[in-house]
Amino acid sequence: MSGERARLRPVLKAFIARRAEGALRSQLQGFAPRPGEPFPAGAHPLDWRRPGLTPLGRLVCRSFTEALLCDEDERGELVAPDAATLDRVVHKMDLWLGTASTDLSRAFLALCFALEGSPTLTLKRARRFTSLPLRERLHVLETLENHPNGLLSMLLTAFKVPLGTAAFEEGELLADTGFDRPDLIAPRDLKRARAS
Amino acid sequence: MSAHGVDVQSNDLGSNVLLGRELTAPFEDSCDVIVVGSGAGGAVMAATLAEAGKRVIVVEEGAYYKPSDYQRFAPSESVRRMFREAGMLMAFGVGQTPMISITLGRAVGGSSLLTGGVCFRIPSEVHQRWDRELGLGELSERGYEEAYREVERRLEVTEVPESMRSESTRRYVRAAAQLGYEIQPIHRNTGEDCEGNARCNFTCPKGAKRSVDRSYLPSAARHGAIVLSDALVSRVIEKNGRAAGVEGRLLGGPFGAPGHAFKIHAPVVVLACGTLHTPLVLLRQGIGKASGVVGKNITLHPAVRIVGRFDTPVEGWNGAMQSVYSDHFADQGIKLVGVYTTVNFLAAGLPGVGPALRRRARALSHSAVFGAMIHDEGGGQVRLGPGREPILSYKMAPRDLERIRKSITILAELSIAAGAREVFTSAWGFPPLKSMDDARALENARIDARRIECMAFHPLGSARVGRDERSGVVDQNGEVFGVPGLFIADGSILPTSIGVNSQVPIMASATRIAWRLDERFRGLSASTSARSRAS
Repeated sequence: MSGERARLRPVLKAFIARRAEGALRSQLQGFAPRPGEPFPAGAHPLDWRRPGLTPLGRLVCRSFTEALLCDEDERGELVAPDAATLDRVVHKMDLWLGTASTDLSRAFLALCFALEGSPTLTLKRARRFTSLPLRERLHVLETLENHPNGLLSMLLTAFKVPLGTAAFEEGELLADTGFDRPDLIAPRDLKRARAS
Repeated sequence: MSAHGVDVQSNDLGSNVLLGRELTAPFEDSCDVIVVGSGAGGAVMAATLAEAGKRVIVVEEGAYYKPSDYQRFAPSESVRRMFREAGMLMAFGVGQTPMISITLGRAVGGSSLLTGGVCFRIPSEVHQRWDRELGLGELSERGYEEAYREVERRLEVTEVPESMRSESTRRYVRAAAQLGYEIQPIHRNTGEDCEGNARCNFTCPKGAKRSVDRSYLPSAARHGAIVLSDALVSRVIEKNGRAAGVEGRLLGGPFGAPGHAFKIHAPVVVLACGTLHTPLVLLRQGIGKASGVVGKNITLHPAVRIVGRFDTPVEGWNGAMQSVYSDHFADQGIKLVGVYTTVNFLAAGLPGVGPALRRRARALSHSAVFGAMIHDEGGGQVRLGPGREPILSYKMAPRDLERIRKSITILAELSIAAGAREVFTSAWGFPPLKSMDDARALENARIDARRIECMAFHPLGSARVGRDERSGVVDQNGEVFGVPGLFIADGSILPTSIGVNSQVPIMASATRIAWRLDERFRGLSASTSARSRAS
């Protein structure tokens, strides 16, 4: 019996090593370099090269952002933001959490579970937040924001502030604010300012 | 190549930065003075002592970025690379306490990279209180005067001219005049170079701000100081009852795994890790336990901001981020401060979700912002956490909660007087205010305090100065009671809330401590050598 164990041990070790390597590779996929960043993620030696969001976290952030940033068309129908915007926002959140301590990542995961379960309180229905249609997700967020219990407002804020910050930093959402420069790095045009 | 076998960077700190993440072997060295932390306190200590001829090594947990690199960071990049916990650090509110997010830096230069550059001296009445009530005579205004002058000279502190005020600030200034509130210009550390990009707290694209990586550390480096970045100190080495060095580990192993160990020996160790992190080192080793105040009584200066929407364009992003303040309500512990930060952060902080949020974000070009900060009693406490970060709890005193509510009302009234159509407060889930009556009604509404969003930028007081080891952790020269050779030089030593931005006060305190330390250095190092020989 012990001879059988000794024979299986290296096979088992190799299997575990392959699975671990595969898991790490898949986690690092979110760190592909992106044009326009001074140090593309994963391309600079100071990057942690560690993912911040778990698969659940990614799903929750995407669902939340979709509801947070949805708009109305002329007929009053809800219009979700485009997929590229959602990808960008979730990617930034991933990078942020990946740079922070594992304490924060764990705390954020706990918040993701809380948000997933929040429809039980807000809609009085045992549904997962990420499984709800857009209109109902929006309703959940509105209820959280207006809830008299401050803990629920805090839950909303924990997602809204970082994801909103990432969202309004560039693209159409930045342009919507009326900001008069192509991005938030471009310096103020003092000549124009003085002339006006 | 350096003596430690790594390629040292050619950058603004010359070849004196060792990137801990690139070291391929454990690091061990010795020097005269180790400074742990490179922010407002640590950089001043390092520069002052290096200029006095001491061999200094600065150990910094965060990474090093050249100014030419970080000036090109988008706000989210700054948050990711230079903010502690990627800007998501919060104080755990106990009881009726608002949610408080805390901004701290974690890079070579510390939080000085991320301030608005505002420079205040500690108010006279605070100095008087320290002197008369707490018996800390050396911390009088007179005792600080020379240090203030030195810091202000090096930072090129200047008054923000009216021409740099944004339209957002101008509207509030006019409203303040109508209501009879006196407004004064702020002083900042930008010299004459500020272009008014209104994003100082995410690094200055012009490089106008004299953060310590530009105002102090280059001089330290020119005088031979070494900065070791990406290095987390875990403990102070004690030998024969004295401080004798530090040890810890380098950061940045693959996938965030622990890197190599490091150990540095010196007869003098200065902790300048900041109010939340200096106590961690002390608590782990039971240093300062007799005082019963390590990690306690932290003041935060909680702040709120308000957004007013106007009919006409404001474009508040053109102008200095902060240019005016008012002490009209100082007797109530409230300081009003003109502030305007990047539009993405403003948009994310607007009330509403979905279409309501999008509508309000579209009106940002017509919106102005003003803020208020309170002089709090100090209900914060730092504890050791399960990981490397501390756990910060904060119990807001009822008096301070009243001040926060009052601040919101004052700001709302100011907005209405300025002509705002709608006013968005920091209290979540409330409809926009449209009249003075609405503003007063909000103050009287007994809302859950946790629905109020606050920010804090100046945690202070977790290892305070005291007259003896029963009342404080350090003496008036910054030396820890009971551990000769161990000094603290950051915001943690300030004994009470100061009610103003803490950068200059911390730097002036560190300057004083460095001068005194320099005077005593021969004795400190000689006694270490004598004890070592005896043992």
